[in-house]
Amino acid sequence: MGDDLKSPKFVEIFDNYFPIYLSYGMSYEEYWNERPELVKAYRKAHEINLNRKNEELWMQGAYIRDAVASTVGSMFSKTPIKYPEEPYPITQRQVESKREREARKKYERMKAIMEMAVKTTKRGEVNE
Amino acid sequence: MSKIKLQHKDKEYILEFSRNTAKAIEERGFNLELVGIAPNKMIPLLIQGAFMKNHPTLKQTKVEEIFLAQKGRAGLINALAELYAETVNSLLGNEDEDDEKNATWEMI
Repeated sequence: MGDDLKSPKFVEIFDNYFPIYLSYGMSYEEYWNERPELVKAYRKAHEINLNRKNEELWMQGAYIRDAVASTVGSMFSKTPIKYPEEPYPITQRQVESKREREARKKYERMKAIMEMAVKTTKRGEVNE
Repeated sequence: MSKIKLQHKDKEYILEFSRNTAKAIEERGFNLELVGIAPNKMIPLLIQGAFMKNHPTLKQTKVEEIFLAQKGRAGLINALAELYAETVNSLLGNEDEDDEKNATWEMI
């Protein structure tokens, strides 16, 4: 009964955790011979990898949804549903770049409309 | 804190533990829980282990000489015990435990 209350030996704990950190990409040398707190960095890296994988799978689902909508979904829609012309922007730089392109397109459209309106007005003045 | 630097006779000694050196002294009979109960046996093992990683060829008599020459040996023993414990605590640790806002207690 007394043995149940004994703390586990350090070497038992080391051995139990070793396969886990190997699966995180830590080497034998790092785990057994480098500074002990290195495992904290591997834990955080593992969490980052999990989050990244989760985001990739979510993104995959979004593209599958778009593919189904643009094919099967289009059959039941009055207007055809288009597959996105370009990949979803995922980095801050890509998001800003897309925003700039769309703002530029909008500006060009407005400019073309204004120029057309000016031409039409001038033509009207000449005819008078 | 992951290592301790000692000076002795113009030489520098770096004391730290890896899991292998922690395992080595445990196999020689070291038990952190017994440091207060059997210090005569445990403390020499703890000190020996702390030198093992960076100074493996240093003789035990030299290790003892360096240790006995240090001031504040009680504090040094505590620090070495912390370094030894870190070999396991780093595996079990939850980074959120460092957030002091989470810790509360009250008398009831």
